[in-house]
Amino acid sequence: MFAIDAKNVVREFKKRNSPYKLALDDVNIEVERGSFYGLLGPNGAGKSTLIKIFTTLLLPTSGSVSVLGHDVFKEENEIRWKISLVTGGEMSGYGLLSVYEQLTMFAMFNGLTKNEAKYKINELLEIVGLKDSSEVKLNELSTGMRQKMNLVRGLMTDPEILFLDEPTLGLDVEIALDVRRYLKEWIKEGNGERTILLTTHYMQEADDMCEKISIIDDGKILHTGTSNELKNKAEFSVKYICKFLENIPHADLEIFERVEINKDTVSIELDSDENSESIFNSLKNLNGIVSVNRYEPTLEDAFLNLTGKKLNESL
Amino acid sequence: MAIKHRNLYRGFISSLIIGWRIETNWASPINVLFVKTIRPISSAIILSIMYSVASRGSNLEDLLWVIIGISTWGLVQSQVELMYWAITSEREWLRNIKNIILSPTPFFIYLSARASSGVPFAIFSFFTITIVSNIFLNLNITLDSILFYEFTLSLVIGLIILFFLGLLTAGITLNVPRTPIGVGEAIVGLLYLISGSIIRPEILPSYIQHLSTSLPLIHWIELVRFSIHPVFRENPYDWESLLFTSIIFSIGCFFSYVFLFKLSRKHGKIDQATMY
Amino acid sequence: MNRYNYKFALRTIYGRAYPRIWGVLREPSWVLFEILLPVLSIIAFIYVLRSFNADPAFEAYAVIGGSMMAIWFNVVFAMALQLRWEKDGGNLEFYISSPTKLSWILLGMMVGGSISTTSYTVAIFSISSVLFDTQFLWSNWYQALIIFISCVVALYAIGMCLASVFLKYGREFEYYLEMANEPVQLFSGSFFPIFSVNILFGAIASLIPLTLGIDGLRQVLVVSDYPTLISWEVETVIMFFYALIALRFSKYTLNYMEKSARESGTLTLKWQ
Repeated sequence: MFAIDAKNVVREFKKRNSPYKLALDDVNIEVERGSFYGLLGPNGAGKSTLIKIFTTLLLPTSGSVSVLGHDVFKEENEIRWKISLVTGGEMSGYGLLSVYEQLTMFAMFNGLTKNEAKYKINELLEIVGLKDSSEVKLNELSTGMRQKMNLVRGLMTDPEILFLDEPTLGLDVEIALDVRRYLKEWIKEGNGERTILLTTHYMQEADDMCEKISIIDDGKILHTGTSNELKNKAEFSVKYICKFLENIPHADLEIFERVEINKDTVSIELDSDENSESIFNSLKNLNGIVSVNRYEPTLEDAFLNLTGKKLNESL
Repeated sequence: MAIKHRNLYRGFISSLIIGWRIETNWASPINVLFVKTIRPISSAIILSIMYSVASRGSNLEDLLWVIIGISTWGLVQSQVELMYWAITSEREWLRNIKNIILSPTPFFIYLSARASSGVPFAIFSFFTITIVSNIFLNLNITLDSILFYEFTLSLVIGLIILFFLGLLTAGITLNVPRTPIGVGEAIVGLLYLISGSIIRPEILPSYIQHLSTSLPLIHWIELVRFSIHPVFRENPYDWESLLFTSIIFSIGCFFSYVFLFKLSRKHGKIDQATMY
Repeated sequence: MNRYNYKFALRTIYGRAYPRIWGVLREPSWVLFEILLPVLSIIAFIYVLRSFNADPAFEAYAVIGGSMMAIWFNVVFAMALQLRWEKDGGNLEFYISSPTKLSWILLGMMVGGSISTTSYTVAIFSISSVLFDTQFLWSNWYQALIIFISCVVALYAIGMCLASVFLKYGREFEYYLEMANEPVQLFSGSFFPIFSVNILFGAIASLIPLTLGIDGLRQVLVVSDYPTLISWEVETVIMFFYALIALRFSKYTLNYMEKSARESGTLTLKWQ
């Protein structure tokens, strides 16, 4: 049984005074239990729409979706016992309640007793470094602290699937790294019983954390695979960036098929990694060369090749 | 390239348009009109029924006095309310207040334009209550009895006074992020009682009478009554009191607003949302 | 084992009632305005009645009616529109995606709201009575209490139904609700005895539990020959049944509206 099994999912939006929108177009996804799965795509790609369907907040217009074997159309209550959702930039909560009170309230909505809630909340607050702020009111928390609190809320019920919708949005680098580190530990400790579905438009985050990634754009899944498999979808296998002091020796560069020149910088893309050492050495010896750097394809390069646009251009 | 000039005209028009759309875009135009109509009509019917059930004989002047006071107060309420609601909504839900304040359009221009978008509905409400009450309660208001010049002037002066009152309320609202609606309503509610709209100032304690007559609202409402029905024209209208108090009040409100705006910036309350 | 048992229900209700009760106490200025504004409204209406040369008994009617109207406003803004605030604040999606029932969360709001509203109403009533020196039959306090509680429960139960309508219709519904404030003031007879207008008018107006609550309280508390059609005992029973029916009905409306909102996508769209 897959943790999430979505087949031919379509989601349309039709509103008064708004144009018709096809948010999801025939999406198919299978997420295995115990895996860390990523949905990578630009803003407006349909990632949040898909997560809302999985978390029973939205119904698909057509198609079938099951979460842990339960149909989202008919068994939403069964699903809700086993999942948790954490979104990025989340400002939910009651400003006048303290962190502890807010978390206790949600613990009660998830069926935990007061003692269970107390134990779990204190344990998790300690782990995320919010123990000393447990009595601070929500309207006094910084964005980073708030997001840590949201993470605690998501984890305190020990869900079988944790849905993360851009969880590091708006966080500073250090806190974002803390969050990612903790999530990797959390899923490891689950011994195959915990699954995470992460949506992000940060390529590095997806690359770093996810075992399997689906690239989504304009409501369509373009490709699914591991990070390395997706990188192979880039137009090149290796790229050299060469910086020159003065004149660029155009004649020497004619042997390469894909060359892009930008002022004093030349970018050379190769389809194959073969002979890369000899190519590298020959580049180093070109007239006027200052530096040569070797790059392997990133997920962004894969995205560019699959969609024809950069990740941050797709708005 | 930084914008060098204050953006008064364009800023006003944009704010007016956005205010109008917020007031009217939530349903079809017919539904909007229906809602805007039903409320003043209900208010007028409440008054009419109260009168028919409760009255043991009331003279026309007293009845007219109260009805005109109530219908005029609808203008006050809607104009002032729109200003503090604009701040509350921008802070709490639209989360746009920072962007508006940072723009070259002065914030008070934005507020006045937002409030102006509600003027047609406020005037409509005033006429609805007056006309419906006139029909049901035989108030004897006829077109011949109205002094149109004075009446038009009263509307214009009234809107100017209300603009400044709205600014003052807006300034206070900027400094009380936790109770923005309560404070605005309390100000309007208290003024309702002391501004001669439903309570004759003679029955108030003397210190409140002094306060009441130092505000332009009481003189303005008197002008509205004066212009609508001859029963209020026994004595000539006191224009001096109206003009004097209006000018002092308006200047006072404007500078209070400027001070309160700076105060809220100093204390970091401008964009403080409550998230209750 | 049935996970949806009474313990889970009680936990949810307690959890949601908690911010309603304690949150308010952390912001004392709210308490001030919740009491002050209705008092101002009562003062205004009493002066209007005096200008109409009304019988002094009408002042007592106005004090009762104005105090009870505060409950209606609370029901509208703190119950019916609460889900709008929750949606805009981002809490609603977490309520929906949690395993508890939305009706229990609303019950929690109802419990919390009715506790705070009751205290405000008593304060408004007390202050207004003292201000205008209105005379009441305090010996009938236990009857007044029964009528009051029935009315509060019935109104909040209706608030639960209204909350579910909002889930589907959003901002548009908010305006219609606000539009209803004056007609409710009219039909509930908050400032005049409803049955002295016209028997038929009063009978139709009795469909609103607030009308029955105000009428019942006036019967038992006001020293006057009060014109009425139904005795306060019958009115209390009717309100009790209103509450039961509304609570039952709200379960279906909530389920229906939630499903409908999930289909149309309005559940999580902000500013809809």
